[in-house]
Amino acid sequence: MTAAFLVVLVLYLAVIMGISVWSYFRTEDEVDFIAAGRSIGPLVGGAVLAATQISAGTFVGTVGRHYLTGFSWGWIWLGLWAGWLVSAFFVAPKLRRFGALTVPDYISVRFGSDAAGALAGALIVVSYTIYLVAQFQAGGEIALVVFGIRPLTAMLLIVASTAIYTLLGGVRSSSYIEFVQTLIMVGALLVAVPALLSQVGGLDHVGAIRRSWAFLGSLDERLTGWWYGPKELIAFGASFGLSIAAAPYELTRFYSMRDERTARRAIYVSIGFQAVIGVCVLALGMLMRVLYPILPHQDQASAVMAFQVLPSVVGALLLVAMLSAIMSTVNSVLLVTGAGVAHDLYGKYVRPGASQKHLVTVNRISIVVLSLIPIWFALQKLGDVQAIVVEQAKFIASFFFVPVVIGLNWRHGTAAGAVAAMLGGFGACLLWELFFQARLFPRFGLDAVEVGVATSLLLFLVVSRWTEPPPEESLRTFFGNAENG
Amino acid sequence: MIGTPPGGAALRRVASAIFLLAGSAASAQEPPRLLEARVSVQLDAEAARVQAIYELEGAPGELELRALRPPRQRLRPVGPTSAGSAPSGGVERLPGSYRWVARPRVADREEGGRSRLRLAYVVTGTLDRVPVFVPAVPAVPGETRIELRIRGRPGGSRDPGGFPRFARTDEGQLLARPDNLPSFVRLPSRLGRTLDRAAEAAVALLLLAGAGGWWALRARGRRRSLRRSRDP
Repeated sequence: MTAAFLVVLVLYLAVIMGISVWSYFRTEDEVDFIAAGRSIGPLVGGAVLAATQISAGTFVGTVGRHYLTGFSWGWIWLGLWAGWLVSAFFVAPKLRRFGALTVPDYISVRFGSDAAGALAGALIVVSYTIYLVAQFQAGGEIALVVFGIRPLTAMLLIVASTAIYTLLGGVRSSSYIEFVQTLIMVGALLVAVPALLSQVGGLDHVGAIRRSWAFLGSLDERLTGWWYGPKELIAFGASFGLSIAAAPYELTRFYSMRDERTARRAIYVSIGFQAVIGVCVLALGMLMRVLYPILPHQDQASAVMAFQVLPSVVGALLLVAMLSAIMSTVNSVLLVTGAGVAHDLYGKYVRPGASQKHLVTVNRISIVVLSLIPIWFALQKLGDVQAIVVEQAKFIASFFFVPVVIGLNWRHGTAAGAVAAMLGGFGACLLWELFFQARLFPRFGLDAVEVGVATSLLLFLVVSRWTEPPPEESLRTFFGNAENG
Repeated sequence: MIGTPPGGAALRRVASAIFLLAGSAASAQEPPRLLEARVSVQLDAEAARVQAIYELEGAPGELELRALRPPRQRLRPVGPTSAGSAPSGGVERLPGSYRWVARPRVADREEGGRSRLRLAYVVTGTLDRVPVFVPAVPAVPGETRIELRIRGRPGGSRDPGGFPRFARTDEGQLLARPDNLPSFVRLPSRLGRTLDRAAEAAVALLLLAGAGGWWALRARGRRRSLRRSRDP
């Protein structure tokens, strides 16, 4: 296994380094670095959106959740895809038409306020630091199971290898690398499911499914029924759906696509990839519970499967896919947070007249610094990987859904309304999580994400009603002339 | 293994960690852990005789064990079922699984002492998969020693496969040392090896087809845009 893994890993690294170097020589300015020269088509774009969405949270966390809780976690995909459709119809085309470089750019222009944009940049950096914690923690779990090395070493290796391709080629290299990653993920998963089924029942896959279902039902009937009730599933689905409709690291990818039509088609392609991946991780998590009813931690299920159950090359590919999923998400998040610091904060407030070359350098330095902070949190093991991903999604939804989705489709939103919505949503979500969630969720089924988004929406509508509207030229970019509304 | 509350737990732990209070919530009593499991399967023409010895850190009063229940198979506990313990209730046959509740014998009465459990059973019928009872206590990666040994299957290659992955020893036995205890062993077979190879070939084909498809689409897109740029 180790030899097979090393061969596959070396081949994979050779491919991504080749793409990175190729991209480096084609990156001349900030538009090339952050938006790939706006050249990405629907197939690569869809694969990129899927690869960005499919992170360690999916490969390690979701497989782990299905391992621990069985079938019912699968329903949250519906919330996620609803979020994608909201994005396809109400967000992606308008954002792509606007053609900025970052999401805070959109906030600044739409609401005619650089302060609102800077606040968005700062909140993005905070929230995505949480997301990186989940990625690094997943990397640590895989490294422990597969190589027996210390999680800190694994995390530093992930940072180093990801930083290289992020620093070299920006979005152009990461887009093509993520396309390769999606192919590997889908290919390995499609083969892994029958491979696991054949362990349980040989060529009789129907019999194996029936036997596995009966086995899990006899372990705990909630595994094949409802581990989570409707309240929890709605809360989880809302967290993912509302956040994905406004997730900066996904929205930034629309800017790199050719045009509005490409952005929308890329979303459909992405949902197709995700449907395949979603069904496969559900099956794999549950089958792993059949093969190994007791693992030390649910987050180890996918690494154990790849390393100890699957045929060598398939397992090695799946491990590479997992590591690359972590790397692609780390890469996407670093690009967004790096741009948040360099483009939205440094370029606008510290040195407004800085040259393109200088901004790219600051961006690259920010990426290195921002990649190191979450490692400390990851070493504390603050929860399972999926729980951390859910927390991050709640925050993104609470401060971004309203300014992005409602702001793009309701012309009366103002800068003060957007600032109030972001701060209020973030604050309400945080306070509810810390002080009320444990006591009030079981009684009323009210989750922090619902409280955060509702607070954000209320503040946006009320404050916008009583404050100065943005300049007409800001609105024209998104809504046309006033009479066209 | 722990469940996860709907939300907030991770965040509260973030807050604790920030204020350097993370250690204060640690539980005082450690749950039992699996230190060692040795499972030996003796195959003959009609039956598989299984003997399993488990060593645990901690001494649970009763221990529940589960195994996969393959079709067309019978499982019968044999006596003496225990050198250190006696099963309290025998084997329960559930749809899809076997359940065995046993009482491990305390081997070391010191604080945090060890306990030991020995099970023995005979499996008859279809023998391509042999149930292995998994105690409801987790292994510790890198520390727990697990050994699965199959005797009575002479001949074959050094890397015969099966589940978990077995290797052939010099004495002709099949030996696997996985990090965690599986709910059954699948005996190595020619069909299993063929399936493994087919899986590897399928993944290579899928990757090639995906890459080729993308290349073809890209070439078609380029031709189209070239044609459009030539049109007046």
